[in-house]
Amino acid sequence: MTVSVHAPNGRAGAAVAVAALLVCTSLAPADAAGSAQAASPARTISSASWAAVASASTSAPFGTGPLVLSFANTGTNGHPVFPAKFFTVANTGTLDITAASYTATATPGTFAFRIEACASGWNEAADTCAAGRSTVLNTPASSLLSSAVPMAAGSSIRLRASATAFPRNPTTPTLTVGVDVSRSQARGATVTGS
Amino acid sequence: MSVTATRSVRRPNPRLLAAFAVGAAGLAITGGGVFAALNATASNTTAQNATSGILSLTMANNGTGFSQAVSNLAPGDVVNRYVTLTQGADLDGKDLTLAVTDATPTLLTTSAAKGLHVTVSQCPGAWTPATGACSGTATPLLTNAPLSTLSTTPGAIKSAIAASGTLNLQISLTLPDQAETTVNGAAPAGTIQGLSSSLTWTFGETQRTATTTGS
Repeated sequence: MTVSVHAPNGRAGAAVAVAALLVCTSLAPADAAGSAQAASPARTISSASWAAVASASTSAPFGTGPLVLSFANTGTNGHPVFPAKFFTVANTGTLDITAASYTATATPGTFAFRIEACASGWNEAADTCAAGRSTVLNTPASSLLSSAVPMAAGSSIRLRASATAFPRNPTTPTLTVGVDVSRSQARGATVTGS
Repeated sequence: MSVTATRSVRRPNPRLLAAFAVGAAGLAITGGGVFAALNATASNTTAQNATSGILSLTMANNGTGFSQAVSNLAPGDVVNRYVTLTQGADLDGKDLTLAVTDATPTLLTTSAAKGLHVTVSQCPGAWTPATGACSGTATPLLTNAPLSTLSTTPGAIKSAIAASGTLNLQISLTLPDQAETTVNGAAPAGTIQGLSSSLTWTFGETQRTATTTGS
């Protein structure tokens, strides 16, 4: 094994010396004019979010994007029956909300739809509501601002969707449901101090 | 007839050279002795003390101050924090500034339009953190400055602070009001929602202007 030692070039050494001198002379004034600092520890600051989503899931994660409900025909072609479907609307933000804008579109467009809420909670097996049944959105409207929302951050509600056709149509309908939340539908601004 | 030219080169006599060197050395030695004899000193009998001043600035929380995280800030929200700056007893300070650095930059600290803004106010008396009340008339020292600016260029807070002086400060942090609509659970592109930054607040100053004094 050989170790080679390079003697520094004379000119290079001189250049380094000059550079070091320049650094020293340029730093000297800053050091001469003393400075002091007082710094805080690093602390996290985070912004809120406001969001709701319609989902087929009954628990998190609820995902994102519109919900597409497909209604199966449990009747016959002559007498089509499309049982109602229940879905979840979840408050997936970090702020409480007071309202949301619901949108819904049925396909084929000849189908009528209705989205309903139940204040007392749905009996989904029996397809009944004990008290407080209300319509959130139904044809011919395709969007509506509603207060039937999961108000608390992290909470969710169940809604009922139904589709019917006049005249009778055995085609399996789909209903696309969307939920938009604007800043004004979340809690207002606050001033806090501590 | 022929002419022959010859060049003669004389070499110095070695003995003469040696004698000259010895003479020069003797002159140098004796000359040095003469100069040493002419040195004189005068000094103070009591040692004079010379001390350098200490420039220091300390920050203390008034209430939670900067010790606590701020979470779930919605557009339009204002969060007030209170700190007390104390100048050291030795030297006056000048050109007090506030800088904010973010270890994990987001739009909160990089966007002047959407990001956080800060206002610094001074109370001649005491701030009451719980109520935001100032026992006197509060004076704004820095108004609605974007943190995106303070992260690159410290903001000027005060031109001078006297030694042992204190500054009772309110730091108002706000997220500008802005309209965003979340569609089907997905925030829009470039959203201000759900962001997190790690802030360090640094007050800086320089020493008072150097002086020339005599007495």
